[in-house]
Amino acid sequence: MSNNQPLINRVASLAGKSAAADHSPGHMEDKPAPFKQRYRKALADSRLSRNLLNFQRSWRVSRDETFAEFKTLGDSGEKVGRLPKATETVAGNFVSEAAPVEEISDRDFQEMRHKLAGIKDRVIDNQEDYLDHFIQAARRNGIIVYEADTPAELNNYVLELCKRKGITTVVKSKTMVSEETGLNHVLEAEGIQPVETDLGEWIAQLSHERPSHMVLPIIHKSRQQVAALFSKVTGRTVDPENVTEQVRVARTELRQDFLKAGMGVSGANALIAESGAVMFIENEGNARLVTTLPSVHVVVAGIEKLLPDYDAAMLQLRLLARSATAQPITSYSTFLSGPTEPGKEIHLVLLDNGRRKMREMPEFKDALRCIRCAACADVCPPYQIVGGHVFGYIYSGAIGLVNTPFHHGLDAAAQPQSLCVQCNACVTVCPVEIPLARQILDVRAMVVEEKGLVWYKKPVMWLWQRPLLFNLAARTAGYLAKPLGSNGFIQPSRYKIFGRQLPLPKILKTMVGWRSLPVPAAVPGRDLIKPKLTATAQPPVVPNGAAGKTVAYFIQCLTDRLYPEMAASTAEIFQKLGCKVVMPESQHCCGLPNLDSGDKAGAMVMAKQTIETLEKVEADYIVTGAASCAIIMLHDYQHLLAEQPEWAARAEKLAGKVMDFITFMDKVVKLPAGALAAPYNETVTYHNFCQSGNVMGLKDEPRRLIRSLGIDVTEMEESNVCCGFGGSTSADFPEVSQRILERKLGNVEASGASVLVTDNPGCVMHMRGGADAQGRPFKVKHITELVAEQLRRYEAAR
Amino acid sequence: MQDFLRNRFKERAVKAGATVLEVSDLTQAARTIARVIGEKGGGMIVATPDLLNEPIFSKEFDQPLHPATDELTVAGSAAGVSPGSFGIAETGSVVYAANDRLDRLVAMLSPIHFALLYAGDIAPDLEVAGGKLKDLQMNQGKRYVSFVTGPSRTADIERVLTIGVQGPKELFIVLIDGESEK
Ligand code: SF4
Ligand code: SF4
Repeated sequence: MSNNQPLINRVASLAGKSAAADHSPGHMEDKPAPFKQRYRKALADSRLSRNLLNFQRSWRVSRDETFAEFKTLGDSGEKVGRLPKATETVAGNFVSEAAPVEEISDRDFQEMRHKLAGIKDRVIDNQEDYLDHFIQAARRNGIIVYEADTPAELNNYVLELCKRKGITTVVKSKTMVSEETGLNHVLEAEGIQPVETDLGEWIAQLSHERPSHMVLPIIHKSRQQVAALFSKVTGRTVDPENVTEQVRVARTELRQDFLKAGMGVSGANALIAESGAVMFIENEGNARLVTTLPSVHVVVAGIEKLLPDYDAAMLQLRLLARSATAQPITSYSTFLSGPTEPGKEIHLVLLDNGRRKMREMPEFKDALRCIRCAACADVCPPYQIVGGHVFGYIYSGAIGLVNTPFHHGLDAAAQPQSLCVQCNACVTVCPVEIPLARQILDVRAMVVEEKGLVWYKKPVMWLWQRPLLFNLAARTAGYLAKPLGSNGFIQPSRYKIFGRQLPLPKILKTMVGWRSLPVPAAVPGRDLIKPKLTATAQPPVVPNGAAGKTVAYFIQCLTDRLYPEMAASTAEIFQKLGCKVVMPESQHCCGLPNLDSGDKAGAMVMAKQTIETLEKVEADYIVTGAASCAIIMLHDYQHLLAEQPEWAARAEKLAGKVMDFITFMDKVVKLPAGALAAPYNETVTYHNFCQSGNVMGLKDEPRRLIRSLGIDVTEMEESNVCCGFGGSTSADFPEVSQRILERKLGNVEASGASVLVTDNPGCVMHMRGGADAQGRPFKVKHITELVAEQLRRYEAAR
Repeated sequence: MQDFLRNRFKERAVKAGATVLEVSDLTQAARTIARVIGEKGGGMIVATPDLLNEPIFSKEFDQPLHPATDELTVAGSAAGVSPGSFGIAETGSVVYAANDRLDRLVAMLSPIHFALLYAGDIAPDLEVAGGKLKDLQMNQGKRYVSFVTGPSRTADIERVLTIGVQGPKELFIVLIDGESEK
């Protein structure tokens, strides 16, 4: 390969050899490589998850800070022409020291995102009107507008335009839409050279990969890899450690392409209906050159980019830059309303490709609000493990799991979607309030509906839906499993024959080698509780708000069958607090495992069973020690049963009585700090079960509860990042589940705590099993266990 | 109020990586630019026509200012000077609204860019800026408006912040007392 060839030809010749080139998981053929292949590659690349872990950690901190800082900036905003309310902000004290960063940032963030979501909804509901208005305005400004229904229509339009004008080089600034349509391939096949000019996109293009992140396309690559690539392409040695030099290489090489290109292709961050203007934001300055230098400019944009007016665009700017790159604003925000000089042509291709279909489906409509900030990937635990070439398809992160079925077909989403552990972290940071986690479950249900459940889940779900049979099977399993366990765990790697470790099949090692499983109980929790139930309440151990009330205890299947003593001690807590405890007789399972596996029909059966059972109970509160069951009853039943209004109404009524243990203790029992103080020598740290934190917003409540026991909480890093249990994910992708667990257990260990407490039995099982198998130096407890112990100590000390 | 906006603007612009030079008038502005470029070893300075035609401004330079005749001239210059339309205190941005392609390129291709801005033309926040932007685009026929905040940057390689990718490597905001005459 000669090095005095123009760079772009060298790119082309490399592309020609692509089959022999090093395939990365995001290798760019017509389609991404098969999922399994991408998955294996990603798992084998330790640098990928390390880079992403560092990135996620620092993004979280700086993102929170930019939102916090907005508080004082917002003040200055209100002071426009209306005099300042207070002058203390003049000092430029950006982050108030009084309130924690997280809290301040969140208040403004919530307000802003709610507003933008509302604006976007108005546009989505009246899409065709806004679109008409926008198109007319754009045409009046001299923009040539074309509406493409399919990717092929968009690609052909651009291709024909190039041919008609004899254009052979096209410079591009970042556009996800052109990734969606595969525009580069179509142009290359016809001998037209597309050149990506965004640094990350250019590197991805040179290495024949797709971007693995919507904002930071090559977040998975190291500087050494970039240097090797640049050395190869330029024929000069590029310093593997010097990023500044690497950036300079890009500047020098790309300048030539900018100056000779006949066409610029850009994306759009917003389409402003009132004026027909296009907004695009960037940091590098390449988009301004792409849109200014060549005489033909083509904007490609999805129709969901519509905004009504400039006010909305300003709000989007505030949210987008903070969410994407944790900047108050990017270096350049440009508003282009038409050609500026004679001879300049601006074309705008508006793409549908499934967006109108999405709009017609109430479950998915909200996803059209997306402003492509990638925040949903930046907090996603499985994304951190496998990266965007696996967690998604062309679009990555949570939104990729939701929109892929519409843009690239259900098949393309079938496997990636099951990587989602349903932690809801994405929902808490999405700047347009998209209910991503719920939508991913809806995608999962579509996949299951079309392809059926995975073989190994079928018998489990079948049995699950039959309470009597399940009961029998579980008890039998308990008796059979007894001799297998030690200390309450099954850990196959500990089995020995004649003093030697049993040879385990690989699949078993992948599934359970890293996590000991609990021994199923021969006698379920309900059998332990029943004899202790009394007709009236006892006097409370300490005065509290729940004394004298009747509590119906929803045990939860996992607790009932795996941790019967946990169930018994929960009932004991209620009794000691002076509550009368009742146990709904035929209670079984809330349906979460079904819902989580995409078995919507099964989930509906279970939901109805549960509603019927719990409706009959006479109690002031229905309380469960399993936060996840409370969440499904409070947040998912109504959505699940939406098409059967009568059932939805019954679900709503039930929700009025259901509470998770922590909320019950915080809102009803209300123990003051230190109320149950008794000597306790362990150091306690708390894991926010991700859904408790992200869906129910429980953060201070569990800590208040622990303080009421006279115990201080030692905080760990990332206490609200998921533990990796994720129900169905730990069965489908045990490697991912294991690595997320390691991130968690590492954080716990680093805190120095000797006891880890949380409020969801699934997390307890997962983390306890992991801590056991890996010999971690701490115990894992459910919050009810800690409360019960401390109650006993308190009583003993009296 | 003015001081408040001015201070907030300076603070935000500096935080975004720009350098703010405060001067009392256009003559001072020219002298300051000439000095900064002199210190950096001199070289050709390109400027937009309104500045070239402003004798108070252009006479302060040892070498005559160059018009932006084509992209190569701009790209090969030592620095470019162009006037901003207004500033935004909330973000420390300078807003450009030049329609002429070559004028725009001064702010895009020159390695060092000097943005002239009158301190009286600072809008407090993005909401007000949005109103002004709307007026520029819908009533004044400005078709290419950019909010420029600090120099060009990237963090694409291992998230290492690197200044000066395709746009200017250095941004100097020359803040002139008073208001522009429009
Ligand atoms: S719910 Fe959690 S695992 Fe699922 S996409 Fe969102 S952040 Fe990722
Ligand atoms: S779904 Fe939300 S968080 Fe994800 S990219 Fe879109 S706007 Fe950002």
